[in-house]
Amino acid sequence: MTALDFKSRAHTAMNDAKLAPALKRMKSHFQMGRAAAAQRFPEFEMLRDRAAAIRRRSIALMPDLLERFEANATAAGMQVHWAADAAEACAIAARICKAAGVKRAIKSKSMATEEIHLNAHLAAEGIEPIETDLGEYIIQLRGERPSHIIAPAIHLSKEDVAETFRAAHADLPPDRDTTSRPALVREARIKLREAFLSADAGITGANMLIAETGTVLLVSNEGNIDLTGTAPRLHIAIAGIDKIVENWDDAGIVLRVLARSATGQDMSSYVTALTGTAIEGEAGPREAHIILLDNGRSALRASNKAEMLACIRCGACLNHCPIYAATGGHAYGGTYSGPMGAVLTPLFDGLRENADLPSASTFCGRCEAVCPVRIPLPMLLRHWREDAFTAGLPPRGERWGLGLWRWAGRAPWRYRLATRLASWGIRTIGWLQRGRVKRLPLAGGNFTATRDLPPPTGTTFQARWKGKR
Amino acid sequence: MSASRTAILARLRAAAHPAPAPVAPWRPAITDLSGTFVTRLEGVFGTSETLQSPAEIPAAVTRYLTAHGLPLQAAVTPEFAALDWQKAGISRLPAPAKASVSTAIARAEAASAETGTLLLSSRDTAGPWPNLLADTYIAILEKASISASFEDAVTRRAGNSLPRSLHAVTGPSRTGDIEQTLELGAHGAVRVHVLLLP
Repeated sequence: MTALDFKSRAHTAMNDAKLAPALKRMKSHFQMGRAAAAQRFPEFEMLRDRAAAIRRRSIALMPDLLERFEANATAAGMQVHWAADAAEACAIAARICKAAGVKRAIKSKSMATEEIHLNAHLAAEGIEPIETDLGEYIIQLRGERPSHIIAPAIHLSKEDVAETFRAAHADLPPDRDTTSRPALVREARIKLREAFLSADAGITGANMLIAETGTVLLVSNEGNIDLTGTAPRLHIAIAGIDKIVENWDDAGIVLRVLARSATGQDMSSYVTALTGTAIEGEAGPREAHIILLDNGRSALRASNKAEMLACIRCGACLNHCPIYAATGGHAYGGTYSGPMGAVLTPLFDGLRENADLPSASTFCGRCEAVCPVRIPLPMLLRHWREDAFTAGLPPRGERWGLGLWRWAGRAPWRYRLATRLASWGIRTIGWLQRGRVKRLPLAGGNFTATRDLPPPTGTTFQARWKGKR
Repeated sequence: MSASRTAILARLRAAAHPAPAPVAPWRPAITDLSGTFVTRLEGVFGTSETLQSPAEIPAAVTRYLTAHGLPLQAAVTPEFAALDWQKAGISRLPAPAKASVSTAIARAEAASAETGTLLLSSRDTAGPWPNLLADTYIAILEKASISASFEDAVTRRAGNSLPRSLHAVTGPSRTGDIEQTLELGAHGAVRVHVLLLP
């Protein structure tokens, strides 16, 4: 194991005194917001079922729908590109920018562009990318990666933001107020307004691609996406091929569960539908491109984890995950974090490099319970664990232990004997340690390192079950 | 056609998935469209006032700007330029365009009651700029322009010919990106006020 594994990053994160209060706020804000939104909307559960069916239908019909999208987007004036991987997507975006003489590109928040590391690529090609979502702008200035898919700067305090702005906005008067949140929001608004009105190109992601009309549908709360897709003369959207939906009715249902699951809003403050290019006398860019990104998605669709493609990136699974709440997003080491990140990162960045990530879950099931499109996240993580085991990736002790457990479980008498022996052993340890189990041997030591355990009482489950029958 | 396109589609077609049946569309059942619109708008920090005729617009704007301590000036779309702004004490700026302005006034051609949403289009007289580049966005909305749902509002506004951009705006621009605390006015309008006409 290298120092770059989840376990060691999680350790670092949990010893970060500044991170804990930031993550604690998640409970009051995101969790309660979602619960309240669900409660005041009686149709929520019914629409979750429909959204789940819509997303699965979209996955099933993906090749046909993508071709329909392509035909309709092209007819409306948008240029459609296909990228097999991150390198190809970056190359296409850079080529478009260079051909149009773009020096400066404003960007709205896009996890797809994070995934392909577009900003670094553009900068290397001499194009200046400027993030305009407030959270993304802050972490771009700090040279960090997002720690939450919808709240990228969730790990920072307002003091961190003030320090970042003071370093970056050296042209503003030093005696200005940067102590309050409104002052910081205002400062970003003023600085980024200049960027919106001077940039040559706008780069967005996509929340949905509507096949019926070739429309790129986006949601935001700040209004930055509307400006990014409308103010510059050139627009490039980059979207995973999984974003496809059939029609506007489907998109409407997904929107209703998305906003409620993400931020507890009935509707995101801005829903933006971009179709084709602007005609004479119409506001908007005269040149628009969409890059359809595969980057492993078609392989995922052919695997036993295909349901992950139903994900609408709301962040509810992160917001309700006890592991995420303890470690934050950076510990996951990839573009995506939380339960959905634990499923996606081994796909994008390799299972070998992220062998312990599928174990970053207690399998408590809250992620699946809150997922608006009912993705069985614990089951998908279990599939990854199986893959990792088959590939021989977990440490030897873990594999040996699991092998032993499997061997015991294959014969009832062996399993009975093993549980009886374990129960007797723990009881004896409890007796030796004066009534509490304070230290267990082997892997049990990890468990008792931070807590005591009462010794087991009564008989084993199997013995009681037999007795009842 | 690119090689990647061919390869991606081939990979997708090689893995067949059974498709669930199409899902039935859903629309909210709302009877009082304007009443629901006003309530939902207030729920997202928007405000409104109901007027009897367009002639009342300038005085209503003055009341609003004064109450919020804002400068008595506004960029007004040509259709409302002939109203008596001078009498109301408002200095009328050039029509809203791709430029920052303190207050912009424009007609909202469509809206949805379900979420208190205004629907702007790149084909509106002033495009989406009255919301996106003004600090205060005052929308003039006729009650008859309110649909029940977002989907119906889109159909009403765009029909079969979608504009380059549609902007469904629900309340003021907001952000929770600093310490997860709600702040209004990130990039779009800081204040959204609707003047409802019969």
